[in-house]
Formats: sequence, structure tokens, C-alpha cells
Amino acid sequence: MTAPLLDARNLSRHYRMPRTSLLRAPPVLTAVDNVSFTIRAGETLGIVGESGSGKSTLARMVMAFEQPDAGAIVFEGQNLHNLSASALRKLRQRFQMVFQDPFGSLDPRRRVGWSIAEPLRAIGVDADTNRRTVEALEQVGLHPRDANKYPHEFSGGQRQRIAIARAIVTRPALLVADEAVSALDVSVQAQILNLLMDLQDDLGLGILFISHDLAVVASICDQLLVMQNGKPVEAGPAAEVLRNPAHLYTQTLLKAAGVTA
Amino acid sequence: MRRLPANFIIGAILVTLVVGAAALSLVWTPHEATQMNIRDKFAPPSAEHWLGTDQLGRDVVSQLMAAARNSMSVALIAVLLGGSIGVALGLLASAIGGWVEDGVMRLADLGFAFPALLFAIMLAAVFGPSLTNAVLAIAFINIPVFARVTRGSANQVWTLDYVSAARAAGMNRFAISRDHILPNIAAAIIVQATIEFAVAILAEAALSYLGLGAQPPAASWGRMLSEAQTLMYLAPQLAIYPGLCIVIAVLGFGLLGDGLRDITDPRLTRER
Amino acid sequence: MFQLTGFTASFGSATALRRADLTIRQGDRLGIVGESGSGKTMLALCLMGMAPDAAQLDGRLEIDGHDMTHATETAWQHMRARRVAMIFQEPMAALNPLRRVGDTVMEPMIVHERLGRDQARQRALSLFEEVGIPDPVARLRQFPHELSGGQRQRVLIALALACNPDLLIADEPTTALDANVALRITDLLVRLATERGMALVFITHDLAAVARATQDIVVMYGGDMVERGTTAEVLADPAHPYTKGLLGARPDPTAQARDHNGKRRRLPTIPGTVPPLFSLPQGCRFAGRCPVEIPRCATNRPAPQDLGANRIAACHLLRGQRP
Repeated sequence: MTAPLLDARNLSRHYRMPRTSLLRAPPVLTAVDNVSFTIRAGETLGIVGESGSGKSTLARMVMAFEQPDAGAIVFEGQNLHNLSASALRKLRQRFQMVFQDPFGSLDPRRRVGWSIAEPLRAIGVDADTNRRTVEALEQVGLHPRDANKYPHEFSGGQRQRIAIARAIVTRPALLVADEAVSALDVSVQAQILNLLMDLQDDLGLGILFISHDLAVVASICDQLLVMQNGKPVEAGPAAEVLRNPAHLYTQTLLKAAGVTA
Repeated sequence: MRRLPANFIIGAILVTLVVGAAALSLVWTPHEATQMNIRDKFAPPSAEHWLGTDQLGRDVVSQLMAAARNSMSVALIAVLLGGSIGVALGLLASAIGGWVEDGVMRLADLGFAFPALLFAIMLAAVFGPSLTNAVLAIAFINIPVFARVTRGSANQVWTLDYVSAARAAGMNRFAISRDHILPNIAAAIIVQATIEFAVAILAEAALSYLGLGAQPPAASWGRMLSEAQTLMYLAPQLAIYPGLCIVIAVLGFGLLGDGLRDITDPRLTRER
Repeated sequence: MFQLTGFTASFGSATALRRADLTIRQGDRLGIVGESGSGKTMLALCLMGMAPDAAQLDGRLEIDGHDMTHATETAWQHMRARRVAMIFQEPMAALNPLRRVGDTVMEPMIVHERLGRDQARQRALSLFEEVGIPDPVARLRQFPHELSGGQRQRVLIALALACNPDLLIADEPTTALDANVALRITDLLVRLATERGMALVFITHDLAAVARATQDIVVMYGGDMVERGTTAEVLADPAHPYTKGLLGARPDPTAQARDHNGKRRRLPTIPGTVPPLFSLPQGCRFAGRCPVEIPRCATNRPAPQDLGANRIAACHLLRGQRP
């Protein structure tokens, strides 16, 4: 058994809410409560839950945008939240993210090629920026000359391809996809899911795939973690969980996703 | 093509008028603005002196034009200076957050609480009255205004996905501020600058009126106003002309700023 | 009740809705399915007389035999709320944040039916009960931000029902809601339509919701109605290539992500993207993305063909037909 690519242990995250009264202590919201999971290279872990389930907070902690209040995230043997700012910036090329909103995740004032090359500039790669940008564009099924266009010239699906190109341009080991296909039309959704699978096969990516849609998760994930109100309610191999959902909540989600319910 | 808002059009016309006069005065005025001619004092409007002459026989049109130039330069330098410092502080506060942001914003509150005129009087008391001190005072009151606008708009941009993407890419906060935040809040800053330009013109006029700004013989609307004040019964037109100029300039830049805001603010444009 | 005949809505050269034929009878539960740019929301707005001013309307839109195609705003105001009402995707955006929800729901009764405040309050109370809002007396006095997303959508449904409409149009009513809440709202709409004998037009991109809520379905693509029939039949045995593609592209929650060799299964896809309105193909709107396309598809619009049993599809290559 090889060491996992990402090992998240007993993560918790609390938010202090605004005070309701001067005298009482401010209420505390537990967004993530004692969640553990691992992701191996070439494997996809799906995290399913609805708004308020804590899945996006989890993604932000894995991306080291936020510190967990308890627990640790170990990526390629390094504890993400013990690293110095500069060491973390360097390590960031190894884990990248694709966001939900294909219209918000690209700077409207920058050419697509500029945005795709941004992670390369961040780590100080100057020499073959152009070559690698073109390579990334081709990997996601776009044309090299698309680099000179602006985001508004593309459809939602194409923009999500661009966002994926930006995420893989540094040749990362882990991709975090937060509702990456939720905003897309059904016919485009399948294209993007297939693209993620192709990239995973070609590059051996580990993928953390976050979604509220069980049907989408089922089509791409090996492992599954179902979350409700910040707590993990069910976890295991995706096929197992979907065939025999043990928790009532998983059953509800499955019912909502079925065309022939 | 969408129709431009009326305030923008009117503002643009007035601003063109004032800036045009100021620019023209660089190369040509009907007469030398500071040239006195006691024999010709209080001359009525004529082909020679379009708006007549003042108590020292100086040509009023020439003085108004030269004053426009002075006023524009003061406003321009003050807004650029105060704006740059304010924008930099606002970006810094927004990028770092935490106690730095709190600190900068409390300082800005302090700046807001401090009247510009008081500050100018203080500067004048210590360093003597001069146009430079007036510029510094006006620049100073601009800092908190720009810091606040910048920080507010920047905080919004920081929450957008493409900024998160840049962070995920490993970009540092200053590079993100430069590459993403500043270009995307530029419109809001330009709008604010235009409005502050109007405020600065007014402030310069006020300071010069009090004798804390432009010193004789430099032409200034505010100083013309204060000199004409003693002659109100004798020659009211000498007070009316510079007053009118101030109104035109302040109104022009104010309307232009409002119009720009209407054009660039997506909340207003979406509702049509 | 409602009838569209050859109804077209266009913006200059861009056609948002092309020669739509549709009849809605009392008690119908009709699903309208399509992706962004399919024209489904345009259709809903036209049924409400709320098409944008810039849209040129052609063909015929009848309500109870009256031609409403070019009816005035005043004429439509008489129709809205009492004959046809609508609920929207984003329940927060559709409620005035500064008004108590009770006042919002009572307003159309007071304006349209000239009810007194007490009468209106009584009816609002019974509506809140009908749409399953617990503790309705207290809720009437609350503001939108004090309610959950599901409760807000229920308030909007109560608002839409305030003047007993004959047709309720629901435009993506569950898209912004969590799955289990969405299920309950869907079931509520079905129950209300059945109990009141009210027609329901359910607009969505979610095939699972349509399967649950409707008897009949219209599939739209690029402003065309490409297929129509009973929901069960169309979903089980789609006739149009686009419907087939759409159903295929929808991931199946019970399918395995890998086959027995551990290889990933790819999902069937529809190639390309939905073209923008102004560059749709002249003939069949699906030309260029269709897997079974023949040359005339790009230039000739396929006429809707009756396949029997109320089943209609618009394609040159339907069953038993070969070029």
C-alpha cells in the first residue's frame, strides 16, 4: 500500500457568529466536525452534501485558504498548515482547484492565456510559459489560438475547460473540483466529467470532487463521503454506498437524483 | 449604443469649458493677467476688455482664465497625490486584513474627522500660507476618502473566484492586488477622483479666499472673490464672475463624476 | 384554455422561440425541459404577457379563445394573478426584503379582488396552511430573511395562488433548493395542481424533477419544441436525437464509475455547445451537434410529426423514415 497523496485527519472548523447580545458569548457555528479522509494518486474522492453541509469549507481547508481549528492535512508528506508562507506558495503548484462558477473564476480583463499562465508566473517559471500554456489548452480540448481571446468570448463549458487548463498547467498531483460542473448544462456537464477522467488517466491525478448532485458524483468517484451539517454521515467505496445507502440522508439524496424515482 | 446619461453630458460640456479655458491660458490670454493699469480701473465690458477690468485695471477675463489654470493644477496635484496614497493604503488594508485593515480604517476615520480648512490653517500657521501648503492640505483630506472607497471595492473583488484561483496558483497578495484587484476597481476610483476634483476646486477657492492659498499676484477665483468683497456695492460684477466660475467648475466635475458612476455601476445599468 | 399556434418571439435576427404550438388544458401538468438558451423561459414570459419590449411576437397566443398575442399591458394585468401566475427560481430575489411576507401575499387580493384587510388575512392564513407553512399566524408577520429557502418558496407559491389562477407557471422552482427540500416543493406543486384542478407548467433542466412532477413533457432546444408526449413515454423511449442525447448525458446514480477491469466508464455526450441565439443553424436547431445528421438538416426545418398517442417530434429521421 502506497502512502496516500492527501491525508486529512480529524478536521474541525468553527466560525464565531456575530454577537446576539452584549453579555452572552457569541454563538459558535461548527462548519466541519471531525472529518477524516484520504485521497490516493489516480483516485477520485467524492464529497456529497447540500448547502451548509461544510463541504466547501472542507475544500477551502484542503486548498489552505483556511486553517482548521483541529486536525491536520498532510499532502505528499507535508503538513499544509505548518508550512511557512513561501514554502506553501511553492507547494501550491502540486494542488490546484477548479471553481463552480465558470463566469466568475476568470478575470474578465485578462486574456485567457494570461490567466492560464498565472500559476507558472507564481512559481517563477518564465522560460517555457508559452509552450506549457499551449500544451494545457490542447489537453483540455481547446485550440492554441484561444489563448489570445477574452473570457466573454467563450461559453460556460469552454470557460470551465479554460479553468481546468489553468489548474493543470503546473502539473499538479491533486485537483480540487468544487461543484465544478454544477453550473453547466446537462449536455456539457458530461463532456467536462469525461475530460476530468481523461486527465486523471493521463496525469495520474488525485481528484477531490465536491458536489451536491449524487448522480454526477456516482459517475466519476471511486470513494464517497456524504456530509450533513458538518458531520460525515456515510463513507466508503462509491459503488457500495450507492447500492446500499445505510443512512437515511443518503437515501434521500439518491431519491432526488433518480430520473425513475 | 446606449444613451449617455444627461448628467454625464452636461458635466462633460462644463468640464470641457473650464479645462479648455485653463489650457488656453497656458499659451494665450487676452491680456497679461497680472498687468495693472490704474487709469483703466473699473472699465465696463468692451471689445478690449470683454468683462471689463477690476479695481487695479486688470483684465477680468484674463484673470479668470489664469485662475482656472491655477485651480486645475492645484486640484490635479492634490487629487493625484492624495489619491495615490489613499488607493495604496486601501489596497494594503484589503490585502492584509486583520489588524492592519482595522488600523488603516481607524486612521481614515481620524482623517475624516479632521476638517481640511483647520488642517490648512495649521499648516499655514507653522510654515506660512502658500499654494503648496494648500495643495498638501487638500491632498491630505483626500487620503481617507480614497482609502475607504478602495478598500470597500477591493474587499468585494477579493471574494471573487478568480482571485481565489490566483491564490491557489500561489500568487502573493501584492501581485494579486496589482494584477486583479486594481484593474477591476479602477472604474470606481476614477469616478471618485472626478468627484473629489470638484471638492478640491471648492477647497482651493475657500483657502485662497481666506488668504491661505494662492498669494498675490497669482490669480485665483477665491482671491478674486475676497478682493471683490470690499467693493460689493461699487462693482458687484467682480464678485459674480469668479463665483460663477467656481459654480461651473464644481458643478461640471460633480455631474461628470455622477454620470460616470451611472455608466460604470452595474447595479444601475442592469435595471436600465 | 391556453393555446399557442405558430408562436414566434424574436429579437431582430435572433429567434428565441420559433413557431411553437402548444395547448394547455385545465388540470394539465406539463413539463418544459431544455438547457440554457432553449427558449423555455421566453415561453414562460410570453404566457405571462411579460416578454421583453424588444421582442417581436408573431403567430397566435389565445387565452380562452381571446387573442392575446399583441394584447396591451392593461389587458394582461387582468389576466395575471387571476388566470395565470408564476413562481421563480430564486425565492429570496422574488420577495421584497423590507415587507412582511403576509403583506406581500395579501396585496394581490386587496388590489385585484378588492378584499378588505381582514378577509385578505383570513385567505392568506388558509393559503399558508394549504402550502404547508407551519405556524402560519406567526409567519405572516415575519420578513423574508427570517425564513429558510424552502419556506420562502412556499410563501411565493401562496402568493401565486392568492387569486386562484387557472394556470401556475413554475420556472426552475427547485433549482436553488437543497435536494430533499426540492423534492417536497415538487410534491407540493403536484398536490396543489391536483386538488385545485389547476394547470401547472413546470419549467426545468432537471429531468428527475420533471419525471416526478408532470404527465406531459415538451423538450426544447434552441427555441424549437423538438419533442412532445407523455412524460413517461418520452423519458423511456425518446424519439428525437436531442432528447436521446440529453437522457444519455445525464449521469445515472446507480451506474458504476469503473467497469470490472477497473477502467473508467466515459459518459455518453452531446458534442459541442449550445450555439448563441444569433448563430443558430437555419434548419434543425440541433444540426451541427446531431449524431445522425443528414445534409438537409442544416437548411430545412423539420416539421413536427405526429407519432400517434399525442406524441410529436420534429426530426427528418424519425422511426421508419429514411431519406
